[in-house]
Amino acid sequence: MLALSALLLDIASAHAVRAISVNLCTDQLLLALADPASIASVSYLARDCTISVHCRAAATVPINYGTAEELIATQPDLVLGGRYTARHAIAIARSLGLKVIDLEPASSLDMIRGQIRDVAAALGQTARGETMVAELDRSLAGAPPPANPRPVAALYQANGMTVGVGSLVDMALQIAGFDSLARKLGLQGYMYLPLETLVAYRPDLLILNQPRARYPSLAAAVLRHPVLAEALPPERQLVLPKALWICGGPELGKAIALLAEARVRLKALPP
Amino acid sequence: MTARLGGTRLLAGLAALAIALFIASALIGQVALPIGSGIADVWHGRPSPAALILFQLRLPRALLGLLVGMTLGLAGAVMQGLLRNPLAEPGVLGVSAMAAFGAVVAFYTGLSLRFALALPIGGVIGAFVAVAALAGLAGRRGSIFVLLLAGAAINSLAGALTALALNLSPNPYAAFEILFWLMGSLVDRSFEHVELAAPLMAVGWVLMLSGGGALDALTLGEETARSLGFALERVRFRLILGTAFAVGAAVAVSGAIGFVGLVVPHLLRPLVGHEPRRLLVPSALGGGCLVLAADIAVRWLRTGPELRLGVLTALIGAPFFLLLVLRLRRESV
Repeated sequence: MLALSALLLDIASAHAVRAISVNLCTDQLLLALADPASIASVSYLARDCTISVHCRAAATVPINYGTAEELIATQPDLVLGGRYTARHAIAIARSLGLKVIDLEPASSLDMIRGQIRDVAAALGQTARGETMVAELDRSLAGAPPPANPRPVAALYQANGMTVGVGSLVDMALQIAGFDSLARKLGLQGYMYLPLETLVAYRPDLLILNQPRARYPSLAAAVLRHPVLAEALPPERQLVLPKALWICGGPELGKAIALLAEARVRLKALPP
Repeated sequence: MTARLGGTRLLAGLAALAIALFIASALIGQVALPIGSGIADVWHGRPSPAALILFQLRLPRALLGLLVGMTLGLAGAVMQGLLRNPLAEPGVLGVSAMAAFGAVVAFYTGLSLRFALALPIGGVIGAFVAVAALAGLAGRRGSIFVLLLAGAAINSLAGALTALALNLSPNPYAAFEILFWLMGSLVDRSFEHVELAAPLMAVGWVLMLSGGGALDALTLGEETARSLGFALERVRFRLILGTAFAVGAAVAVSGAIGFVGLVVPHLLRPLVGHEPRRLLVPSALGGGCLVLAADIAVRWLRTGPELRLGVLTALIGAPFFLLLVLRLRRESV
């Protein structure tokens, strides 16, 4: 019955809503849920493969820079945005009476499921939304369950930044059965973690976002500091692409599964 | 200055201070360390966290602080003698900024990923262009203030070129890294940086120190220096090359740290007398002390992501520079 009504809804929306997204995370949902023809544009960030899972698809649809002018010129049926991006454009879209969905940064799996369903419904793609939620749940179900004692993991990013309590990364680490070094140190949000502190606390697992950027920067040079390799041998390092856990979507399930598998591998290592 | 310190006593004092600051630099950091057991672990090759922090993070950092500071102090003393200008200094006259531009080009184009030495060599080339231009200007009618204005122009040009190069880099972080190149920092340096820069700095020091006699003679005027048997063109080129090597290599690994070469020779000159040659080695040691002290201060201040070294040296150096300008004006009236 449910499936039937979803099917009917999908047929009803054959003249699909034209939607525009001005936020990297709503870009991911839009690119995965909507037909290309109904995507007016996605944000320019969606084409950056280091942070966007659907960067290839994004290359085939128009992009925007989150400005009000682009919104007005597009005249979409639906505007998708995040609570903290392109605020002026979103405000103008609302004042013009456009339908706007702006998502809070996800802080729980239920919230992620809810957001997927909300966006899918607004796009008239309820069935695809359910498939996406099922995909997320399948990845999570495949992840090895947490066990005590929880090993400590630390994410280390360009410029020596890490992510602490209240972030998607922190949430993913908890679900995957890790304690987070940033959490142990009481760091909130996006914070600086000195290299000395990282070496002194020597986490069980060091998580890096990318092995090497294509273009050099001092910011990324710290990730190649020789002391990292000495303090944490390769088997205690995990490269987890940023695109997998920057947004609360089905990819986050994959990130959690990869983390949980890395946790199981750690057990085999000498302390 | 009546109480002139004996040369050896001054050198011994400065060397002792440099050693003390070097040790202090290794003792201070982001985390408190069990120093004794850390050193024991280093000694026995045990890779404990304390050993790794001491040997892989703090030791190269302290070494670079000392070497970069010595370079800047020495280069300041040499440039003041070479250009016969008491306000000359690698930072103020744009030599460091041009070195930073050279290093930026080598680094962000990816050249130094394929060929590591390209980084300091880029710095050396940049520094050489700047010193050579300045020496060309000062060689003829060397008005103190014309040289300073030329230096100001080189400085702004180098800063603009650096900003341009960083903005052209496709890496999104690059544009924010101008602060490192213009203000300098020793955070998270490794032995790789020491190995890249130290040999070129040493070449620069030898070249600069070998020209000390000519600097003394130059204080008597070019004609007199020539009549004393100095092949001025050749010595001048050696000094320019030496400055370029040392400053270029230093800036390539630490960014541009200003005013060290200005403050240190001026503070030490009353103690050694006015022959430039006697000022060279004390200025090098004094520069090492100043940069080590500044690098201790930025960690001790705990400002989150560290304050840039050049911020501290400019806070000390810029008022000092102003005082010197005022004194010069009084003397020239």
